[in-house]
Amino acid sequence: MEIKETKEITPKDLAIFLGVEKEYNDALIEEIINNSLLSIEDEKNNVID
Amino acid sequence: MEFKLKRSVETSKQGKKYKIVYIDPNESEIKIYPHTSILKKYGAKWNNLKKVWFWFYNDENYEDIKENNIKPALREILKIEKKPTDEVDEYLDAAEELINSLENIQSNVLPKEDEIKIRKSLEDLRNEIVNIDNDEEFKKTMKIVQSFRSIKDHGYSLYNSMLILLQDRKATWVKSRSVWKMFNRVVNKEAPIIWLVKPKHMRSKLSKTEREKIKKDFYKKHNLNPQDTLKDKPGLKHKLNIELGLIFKNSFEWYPTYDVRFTTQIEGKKDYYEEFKKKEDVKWAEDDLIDEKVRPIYNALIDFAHSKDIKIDMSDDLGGAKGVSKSGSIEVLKNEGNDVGLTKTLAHEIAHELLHQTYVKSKDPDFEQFFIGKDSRGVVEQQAEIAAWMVMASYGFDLKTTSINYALLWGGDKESMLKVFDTVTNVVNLMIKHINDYLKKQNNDNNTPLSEEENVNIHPAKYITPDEMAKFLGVENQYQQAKKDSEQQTKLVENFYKILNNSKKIL
Repeated sequence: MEIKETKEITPKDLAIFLGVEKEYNDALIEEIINNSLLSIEDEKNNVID
Repeated sequence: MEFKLKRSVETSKQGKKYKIVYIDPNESEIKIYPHTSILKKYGAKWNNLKKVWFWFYNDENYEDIKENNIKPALREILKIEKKPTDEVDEYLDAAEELINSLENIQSNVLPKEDEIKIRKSLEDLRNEIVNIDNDEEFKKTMKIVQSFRSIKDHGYSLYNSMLILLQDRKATWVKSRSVWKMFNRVVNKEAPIIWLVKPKHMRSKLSKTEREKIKKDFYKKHNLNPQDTLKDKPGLKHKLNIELGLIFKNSFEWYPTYDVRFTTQIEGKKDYYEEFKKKEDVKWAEDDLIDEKVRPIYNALIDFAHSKDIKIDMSDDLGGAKGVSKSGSIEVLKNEGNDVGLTKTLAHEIAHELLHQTYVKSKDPDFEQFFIGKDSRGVVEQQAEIAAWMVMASYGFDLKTTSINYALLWGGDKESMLKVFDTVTNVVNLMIKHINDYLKKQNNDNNTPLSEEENVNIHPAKYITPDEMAKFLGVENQYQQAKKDSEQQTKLVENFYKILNNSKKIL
């Protein structure tokens, strides 16, 4: 049998595959920023009035 | 979490209260201390007591601060932190190693001024790589190096690919004078020399029997048949020569080569350059290629469908289509299980069942994660096609398709891009996992050895032109349009091979 197992691919592989790595990266960065801003926490014992 | 942002109320020495939003370094995965200049640029201040970078805010300007200060600061930091580095490191290492090894390369044939010139350009290249952030032109150059190395199928090492392009950007096919003679070409008078390095050959101190034993063991270790030639496997040939004591590791010498532009065909003899030029065209596997190597993949996909209770029916005629997905059942054209194109069709229809049909997820809620749902027909076709294509490519079947439209793939909507990419790759990996498990089971299960049909050697894929492929697929018009956008096409192919090469490295 000459066919070998293959590695798992990542969404980033797919993006590189299609030559849209930059666009994918930009979308990923925006998602990280939005998640960070959405999950801003108020420090405990530090009540904001 | 990349950045953990928190809000708090602080009290100044004068007892005045003020609100701040800050990046908590203890809960942020990204270390922000190397990026203080960016933070300062966007108005962040350092709080020495809390040891955090923060922004002042009040209820009126909170949204403004988020939009105009925090967001752009995080964006700039992420652009640095998330930039792809692997490729850069590879080139940097190669340039560095080459510069260092220049000292040890035998240079009795290389004129001193050429050596100085090459060293200078290598050092320039290294500096360019170090400053990659600021140099789009460099990235373009690296793409040329990469495509030169992978697409043109020369088997040049990364070192020599770099050396060729540093000395002659227009070079395409480079050989030494004696090798050109074997290719029925003579080097023109005053042809410019491209200096390359080659491993230094030694006279082996081993006996013939010892050499034969080493060769036999080496072939066994690398799953090669005794009659296999290493001609098209320069990496393996190099390794074997080291083991045979014919060359020393890290010992190189310079040799002069010439680009094909500065050579002339010997009249009346076979023209190899014509064949080379044809080969330069991207390799396309024939879509109706019969190849026994695909049989285990085909069987594994059938097994996958059955494991999800998807019925597979064979049909003599599907009204011009090769396969149909019907939510819970798939029809494909009748075949013998060794048709590469129809194996891709099967993967394509399975991708439809997972991505766009409701049957599988209705039976097993775990499969909800693979469901994107139907958008327009164009979009679902693109998604199923790219999934099938990647599954086939992962096993070495270069079934490139000209019908991929990048924007359509995620509906032209940037926001849905992440979800589509995640889901499509998950579906690809789900199929890959099943195929891998199937192959492993077939290999390990001594009680059910591979059938004679499954245990066959690979037949090399035939070459056809992209135009023929497009015609065959009935996408001539789309292909011509895609061809116009040749830059994108080239990029796609380069990336395709890059990924394949990376996969091969991992294997």
